Amino acid sequence: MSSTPIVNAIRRLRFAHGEMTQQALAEACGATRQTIIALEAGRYAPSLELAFRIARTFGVGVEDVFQWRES
Amino acid sequence: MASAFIVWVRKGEAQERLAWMALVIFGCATVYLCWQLFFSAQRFEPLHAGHVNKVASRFFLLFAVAVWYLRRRFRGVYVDERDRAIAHRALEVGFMLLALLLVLASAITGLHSYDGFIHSVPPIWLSNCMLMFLSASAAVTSAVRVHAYLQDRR
Repeated sequence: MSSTPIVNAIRRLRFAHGEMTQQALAEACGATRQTIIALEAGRYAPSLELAFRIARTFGVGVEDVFQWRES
Repeated sequence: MASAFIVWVRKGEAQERLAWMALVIFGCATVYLCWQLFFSAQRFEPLHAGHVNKVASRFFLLFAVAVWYLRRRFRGVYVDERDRAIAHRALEVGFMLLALLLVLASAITGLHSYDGFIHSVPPIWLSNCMLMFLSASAAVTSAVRVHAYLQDRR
């Protein structure tokens, strides 16, 4: 799985939400911890559904979590 | 060393452990079949009436036990979209390898220079060769999954 042009603020948002663990976020949005690790490392672009789930978990919009990185 | 490796594997998520187990099982099956086909002393012995194809029967026994164990051990394990994406990619690679092996085998059996060899081996040798292709394909599929999960750990 190569890196994607989508960057995200998941790590920052996790710490802003009471230092939420990767496991807690994974359980909250219906993913596995390894998926969260891959997302934070920028190695995986989530589906639209998972992107919305993550954004809703943090109570923000999708674009506050994921942004397109201009090359 | 081995125990440290097992502890390290056990720290992974269920899908990663499943991929490791499948890699070990199908890797062993591939090595066993390869040894039986190319290095065993009885590899070209002609089969007589009533002879049990021991290699294939052992392989299928191993395969059945492995599938039963893995299904029982990982029943109800949660699979998310990334696991499915990894499995899909791994299946693609495994399928491509299987197709390549089958094309190579069919090309080789069509060559005149291999006529002598093809006529010297019993048909069951060729069928076991097909089993080895399947097993190798499954092993590579598992290896691709393991590699993807290893990337996650970094």
